Amino acid sequence: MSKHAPLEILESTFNEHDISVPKSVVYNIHDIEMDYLFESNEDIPIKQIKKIVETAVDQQPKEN
Amino acid sequence: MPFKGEQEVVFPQDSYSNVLLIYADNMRGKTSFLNALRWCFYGEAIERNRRVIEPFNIVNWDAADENEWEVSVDVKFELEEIEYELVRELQRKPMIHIPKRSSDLEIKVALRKDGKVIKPNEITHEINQIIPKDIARFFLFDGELLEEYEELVKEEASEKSERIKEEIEKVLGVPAFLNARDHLGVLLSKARTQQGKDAKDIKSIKSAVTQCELLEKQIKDLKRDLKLLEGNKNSNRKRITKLKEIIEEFRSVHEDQKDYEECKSDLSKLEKKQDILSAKKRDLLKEAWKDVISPLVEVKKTDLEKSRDKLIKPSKEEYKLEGKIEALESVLENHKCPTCTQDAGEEIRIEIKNNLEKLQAGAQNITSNNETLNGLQEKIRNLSAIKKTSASTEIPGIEKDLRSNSLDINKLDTERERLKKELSKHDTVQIKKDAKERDGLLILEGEIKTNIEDCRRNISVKRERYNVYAAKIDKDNTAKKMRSSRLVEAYKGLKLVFEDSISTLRDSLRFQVQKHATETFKELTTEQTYKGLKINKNYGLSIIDEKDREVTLRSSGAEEIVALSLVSGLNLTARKSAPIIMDTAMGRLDNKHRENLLRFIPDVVDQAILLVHEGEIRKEDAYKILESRIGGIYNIERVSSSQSKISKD
Repeated sequence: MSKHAPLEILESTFNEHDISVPKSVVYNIHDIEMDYLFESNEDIPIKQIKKIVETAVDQQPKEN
Repeated sequence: MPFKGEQEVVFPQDSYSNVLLIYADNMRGKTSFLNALRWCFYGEAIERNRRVIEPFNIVNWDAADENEWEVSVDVKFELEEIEYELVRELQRKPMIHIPKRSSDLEIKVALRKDGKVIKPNEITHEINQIIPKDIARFFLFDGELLEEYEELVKEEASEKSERIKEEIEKVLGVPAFLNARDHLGVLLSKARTQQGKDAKDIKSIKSAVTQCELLEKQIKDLKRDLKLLEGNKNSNRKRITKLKEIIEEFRSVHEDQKDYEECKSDLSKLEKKQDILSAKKRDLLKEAWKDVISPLVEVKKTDLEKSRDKLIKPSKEEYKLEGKIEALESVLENHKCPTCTQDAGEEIRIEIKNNLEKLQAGAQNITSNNETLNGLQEKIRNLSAIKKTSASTEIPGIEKDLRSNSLDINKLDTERERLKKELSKHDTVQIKKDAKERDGLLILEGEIKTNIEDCRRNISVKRERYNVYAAKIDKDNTAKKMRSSRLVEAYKGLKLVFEDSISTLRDSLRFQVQKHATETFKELTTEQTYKGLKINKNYGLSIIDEKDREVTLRSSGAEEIVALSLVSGLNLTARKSAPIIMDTAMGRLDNKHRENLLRFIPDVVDQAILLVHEGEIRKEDAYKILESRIGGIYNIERVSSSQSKISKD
């Protein structure tokens, strides 16, 4: 399996759904989790994920 | 551990000549070499029955006799262009002069990553990033423990295979997706709570908000119950495992009890033998004084015999004299010669009378000599009774037997004491209680499992109902404008992406492992009609024949080939590859399979270290098959029954 396979799977799954945040958010979440898994990052991933998702949502144009 | 003093092995550095062969006869230290690596990485050396070897028993016996207790394994390696040095050391604790048990020793571990010292509390995590402990068994491959691998490649899921599956997926990268899904789930739940609060005043969805709040509370309670139940299940399982170990240990207590009884009986026999030998020695010693004076007695006896012989000669003369006296007395009485019967005249008789008187005087002297002779005969008889005994020849043999017997008694006595001490540690009544407790806990485990299933089902039902009400809120145009609703929408979508990706990634990984394992299997198997291997959800593998049927009965050789194929499949699928170190892995394979394995292995791993004996693969055959793929050969040679050394071939 290629090192990029998990990301390719994420991208393809993302494209199948109508998601209200940009694709980059998915990659960012994956990076946070990989760091958490392999680098023993002491930061709690939930906090980081919350921050990037909230930033993405707040940058969206509000629906009327 | 048979190794004393420093031993060094350099693994092949050339990517083509990447096979290292380490030759050793049985009992010389092949498994100890593998254990040294396992111990260095994971702090565990494992014996044949999968029990962890006590640190006290890791130390070489000869070294321990010399009061040398330091054991150290230093592994230098490179992974993804990062240089590592891992050192694990065993040494006696300060203030302990002569260690008597494992608790008298301590283990120290140090890891350098590109020269930088890693904090002690991060070392295990670092090692797990290199090769997690449970996966290590696929790389530190002990052929003598093949049954362990066979369980892993079986179709049926067991607790162990479930754990291995998790570890495999960790190496293959699935947990990042799983964690993301779970973390997004937590954030979604929080966003939902906020959404409920924000939507409280929207009349059209008021009822849905209330229901969501209620269901959310119920789900939260159920989740708390579930957590408690799972905690109980785990602690219950731990206790069951512990009790099983204790009960298993009791089997060895039975053996010890038997040995103790035999020991006692042998000891009693030896003590009886010792008594018999001592009595025999005592009896011999009673007569042994004769041997001491025997030479003097012989000298005295010879002297007496000589004196006797001197006296015997006159005695013969006396006999003759008596004859003469009788003849002369007859002449004087009969006046005739007893021989010629002629008359003896007066003159002749007077002469005869004179001669007779002389002869009679001589005869008196001879009578007194006879008394002396009788005295000498008596003394000679008495001295002859003092005969030399066998004591001087028999006693050294008896003493030798006594010494050897005494040594055997001491050995048995020590063994008896050891067994007695060992047995005193076990309370047979307690073991029966433990068995009863285990049976009770197994029933409880079943009940907990049922409760967990019920709890999960309840959560699922309530979650579905919750989703129905939540969907109503999501669809409401007023609610849609709320920030919390937009967050809910984002978390829902992201969670879905990761959820769907998990199953896709898992399927993809299984497919990859199956593909690579099948490629390996086809290279290794001699049964060319087999189509390949089929993987199940636990990474268990089945052989598929030419008619797409699963081969249910597998020989031990086939099991080994399937296990090797899984190792290779994981190696090729994993994002990180690792060297493979195989101990006596070809023991159950026939010549053709061995040849296939040797030809194949250099192509699928970066480094292959094969611990073999000449019975598995002869050196000349290895050269013939592997040729320039051999990166080095070492031999583990016997120094003594308790020592081996490693040297380059």
